Amino acid sequence: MEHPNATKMRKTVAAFMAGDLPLMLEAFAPDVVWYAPGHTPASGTFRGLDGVRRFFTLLDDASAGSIRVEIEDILAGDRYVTMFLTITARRHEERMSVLVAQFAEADEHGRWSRGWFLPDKLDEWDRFFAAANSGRH
Amino acid sequence: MLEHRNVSMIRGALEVYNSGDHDAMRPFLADDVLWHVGGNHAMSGDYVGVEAVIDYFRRVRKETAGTLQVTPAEILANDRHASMFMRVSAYRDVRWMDVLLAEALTLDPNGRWTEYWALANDQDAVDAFWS
Repeated sequence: MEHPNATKMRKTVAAFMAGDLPLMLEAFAPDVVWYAPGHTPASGTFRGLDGVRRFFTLLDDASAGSIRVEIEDILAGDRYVTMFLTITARRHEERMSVLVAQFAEADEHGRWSRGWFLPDKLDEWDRFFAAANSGRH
Repeated sequence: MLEHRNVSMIRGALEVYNSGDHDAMRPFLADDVLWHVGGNHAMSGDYVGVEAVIDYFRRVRKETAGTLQVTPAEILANDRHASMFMRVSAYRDVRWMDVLLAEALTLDPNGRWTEYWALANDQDAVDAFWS
């Protein structure tokens, strides 16, 4: 039987793919901290629900809504969850496909309180998302 | 519940790593292992193959005078993937680093590591440490 945190994370991803960011954000703690590597507007430390909303909006906007997330695997425990995601996107003739390890830590209420978002091919990720509109985290 | 064999294997690898006997890390690494070191510092880059990765481990140990230690907060694994939440601490001359790394691994059918990548909760501190 799947760990409850794995099921919860699948629902979080499904909400993102459905474009339902308010539903997605219900799974996060108000003081969530989100780490994303690289050198793009979608890189750095994003804080709070507004920060997480901004991170995912940047991804969606920069890919002109083409971003697709497939869950390859989920590893889950009572406190930590890691998803391995194949993420693809295209913009005009440019295409991107990376394996992302998405780590999350749950707080005492089971909400995602900290996350690490790690593409394996960071150069490819940077090239694609460098065009994202910048703004405050 | 019994621990997955790949979790046990990783615990063993981390003990070997902390001992400084990096040649003994070979059984845990696939021949064509790809090791990504992120950030913007002297160690950043991709290391390909067992020899390159072992050499990277040696460089880290030399630069930190053997003080770098890894302590797992959590290890999750199944047959194909593993992840670790790892406290990493080290001295380098007068600099001190103490960060929490989220680390991802892909595994071959024998549990050997085929790809590694990671991100710290304070990447600026890691960059400053290695600068």
